[in-house]
Amino acid sequence: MARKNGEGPAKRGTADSLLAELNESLSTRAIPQELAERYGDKVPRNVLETWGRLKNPETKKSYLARLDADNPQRKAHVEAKPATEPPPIADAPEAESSPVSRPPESELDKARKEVARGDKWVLRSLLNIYHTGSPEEKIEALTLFANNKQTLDDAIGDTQLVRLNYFNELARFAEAYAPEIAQRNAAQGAEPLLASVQPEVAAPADSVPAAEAPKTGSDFLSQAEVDALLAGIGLSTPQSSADAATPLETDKQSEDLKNSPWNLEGGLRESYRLEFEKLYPPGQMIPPDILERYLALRDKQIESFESGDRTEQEKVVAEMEHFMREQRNADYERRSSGTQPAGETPIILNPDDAPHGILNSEGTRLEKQGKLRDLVEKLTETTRAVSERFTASKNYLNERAKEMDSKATEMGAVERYFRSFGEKYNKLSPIHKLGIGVTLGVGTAVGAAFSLPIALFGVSGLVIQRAAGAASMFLKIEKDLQTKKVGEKSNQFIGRKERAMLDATLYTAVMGVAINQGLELAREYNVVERTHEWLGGLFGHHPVPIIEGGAKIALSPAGGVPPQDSVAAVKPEVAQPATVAGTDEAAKIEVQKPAAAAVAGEQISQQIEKNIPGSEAPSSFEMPKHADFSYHGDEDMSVSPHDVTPAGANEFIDQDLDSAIPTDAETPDAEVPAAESVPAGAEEVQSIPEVTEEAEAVQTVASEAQPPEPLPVEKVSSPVYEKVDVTLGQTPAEVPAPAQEIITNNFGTKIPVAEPHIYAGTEQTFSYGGTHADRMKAMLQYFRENPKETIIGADPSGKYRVPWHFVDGEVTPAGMPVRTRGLFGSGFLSDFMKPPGPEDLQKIIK
Amino acid sequence: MQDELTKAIAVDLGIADLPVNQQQELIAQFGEVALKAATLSVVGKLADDKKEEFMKLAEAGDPAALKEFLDREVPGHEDLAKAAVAEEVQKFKAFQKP
Repeated sequence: MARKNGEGPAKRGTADSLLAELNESLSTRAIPQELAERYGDKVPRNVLETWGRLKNPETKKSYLARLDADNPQRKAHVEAKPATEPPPIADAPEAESSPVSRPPESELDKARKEVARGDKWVLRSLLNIYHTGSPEEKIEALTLFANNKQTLDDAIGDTQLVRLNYFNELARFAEAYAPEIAQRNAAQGAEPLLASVQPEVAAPADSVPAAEAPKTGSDFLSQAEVDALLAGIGLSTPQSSADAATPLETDKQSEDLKNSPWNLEGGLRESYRLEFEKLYPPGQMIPPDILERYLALRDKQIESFESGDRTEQEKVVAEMEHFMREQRNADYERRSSGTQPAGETPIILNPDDAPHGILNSEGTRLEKQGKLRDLVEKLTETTRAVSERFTASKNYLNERAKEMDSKATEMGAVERYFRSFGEKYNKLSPIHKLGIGVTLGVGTAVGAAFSLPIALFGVSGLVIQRAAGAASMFLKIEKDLQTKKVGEKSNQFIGRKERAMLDATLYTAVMGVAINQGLELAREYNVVERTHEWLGGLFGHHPVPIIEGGAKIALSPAGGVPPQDSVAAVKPEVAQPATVAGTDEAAKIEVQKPAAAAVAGEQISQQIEKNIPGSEAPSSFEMPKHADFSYHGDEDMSVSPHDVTPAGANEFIDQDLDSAIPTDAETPDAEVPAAESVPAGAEEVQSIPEVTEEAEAVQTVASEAQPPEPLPVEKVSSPVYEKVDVTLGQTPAEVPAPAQEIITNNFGTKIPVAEPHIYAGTEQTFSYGGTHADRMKAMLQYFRENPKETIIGADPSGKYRVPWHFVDGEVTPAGMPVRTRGLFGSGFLSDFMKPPGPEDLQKIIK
Repeated sequence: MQDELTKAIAVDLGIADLPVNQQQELIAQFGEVALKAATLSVVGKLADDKKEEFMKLAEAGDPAALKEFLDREVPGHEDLAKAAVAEEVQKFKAFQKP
């Protein structure tokens, strides 16, 4: 009969051939006498099968009685018809009359039918049976699979999902249970389990020949199997199964049903079954009441089909439709609420389409929802833990603060101070509070900024200081930073740690003066740039910038924040010969009275110096005792275009500083040795070598002198440029001219580095090459031909980018050094731009 | 710059895994504790009459004068204060550990 799997090529139509073989097999079986008496030569197949399952004579007797009671007409019909011919097996729908009385169709039964149909989805059922069934069912499912493997393989076709998820799995399991499968096949006469399958596809009754051989036990389920199957779904015992079969009525009835438009009922019922199984996939728990209703409706549907009552059929179909609609709605609600158990169709049908990191087993929506729920729960737990930790930390700090207050109370004298301490601290802005943490050295990278006095000032000082006081304090600190810078030379880079300390120190300085418009003040006074420069000098980042001319600090008379145009500025010597102080630049340094705050700044710098591992200890500024750096008010200070100190401002400057700083008695004398002045009217820059030599001489003297303690000198320096009057032969510091070299930049411009030229840039005109004096000369010549132009060039130190223009026959800086836009364009933390370089030069103009 | 400083301090305090706003709040609060601890460690070395003077200088908001005073009255005050702050940092970090 049915061929074994794996024998010969199995094609798509194998199921049909199997069915034909099956029908042939059934038709050749002998009709039991008891049934032949009642049905003659056309015994309904289900009746025949049910009869075959019944082993108990009593049960058979009861079953026959029921058949007789159900349809006496049939009995009469049978009696009237001689049973001369072998009764063929008539096709009939399932003859169950009620959920209780009919023999239930097990998963294996369904699977057999589906295998016979060549339904690839049987693989899912088989795998489900394997996972959830009894050991016997498991082996049976695998045997069914193994015996029909080729058929199912063909049925799968290109559906990779089924192949990967079900077929391959079953193949693996079948291989593992190969001995058991072989044993089972041997016990069943090596007949595929399809032998017991009743295909739902009806075979024409006339085409089924009569059975010739008696049915063997292997063709039907044993009583124990029936019992097990029934018990597995919680239904009745074998005794009641005798009541299950409802014989098909007559040939006429059968014919009527075939011709009935409700012949489609079978398909309709099948569609309901599929949908129901989709809602409640195999292996999933079905609520008992739902299952009961479903089975009852199915039975009613079958009954109505059998009875041919159209009204009843419509009513049942309507009920079934209503029931299924309820189930759909319930399923939708379950899915929406995320309570739907697993078992739905995977979202990712093709595992190959699964995104990276998502397993195929994660491919269902509900599983993903579950995972998402887990993640959310974990996140919630984490958030809760973080929140609890934050709260606990705050409480801890509160307790510690209270403990400090208690200790302060024990100290008596400082209790009052501490009492107000917390209030003052709370009034500080977050930026100040952060600054205090920085100033106290919290943070490994910024530990060098430690300063208790500054931190205390951050609390008390900021609250009580007037703006003027804060401003002057800031200036003093800033000047001290500048003082520390003087004389530092090295070629070291600023490393990461130094950078962190730089930030910390800047922050401290900013915080220390940050009252109200503190940040604006800091920007206004270039504290960032200046401190940056100071630290650069401290760490040997770059040489000391030019400081030339006396400086005056302008503060508003009221002590408030000075207006922009009254900000301290450097007043370079222009008209008069400059007094040359000792550095590598020609500079005249105005010595102010000792700044009290400078000491604090010095402390910061000392801490930084101590905490820089491996950094070259910078030499401190050495002030010759006989040096006279004092500012002489009777000096004739010409005002450069960039000097913004208003007339008369000196009075309140001195007044303010005098009131804010220690007395003269604390100020050590400092004299500057007389430096040779550059003769007035000196022409061009030929005098530079001589003056430079003098500067070096002064520097040497200065470096040998011992600095007073504490350092009383408050020098005002600025990264701003000097005003250079080439007509006077002023002696700017020169950056050593590079060796003869021609650079070809990205514009293709050949740039002789050692030669001064005027270049056109993309938008500006630049001077570049040679020494500063060379550039000044080149600019002078260019300005004589183009007096209204502005040339961007280097300042005398060669460090900054400065605009130059032509005023009264002189090459004069046209403004402050060009700065970067700073942090987020705010100007804060902006730095001076580097002087023009080869990359800026597009072509030589002159 | 603030972000960098906040990050550095948060790491030092062992709170780098907290949200930034919480970090900033804790750092601000810790600053008060640290400052009080540092101050107490230094003030504890002063005689009573000097404590009064310290208090006045501290309230006056002149860090230079205060430093001069401490240099004179409490030699090594910087180390004292720094140790106090470091101790508070360690205590806070220890508190953070589960």
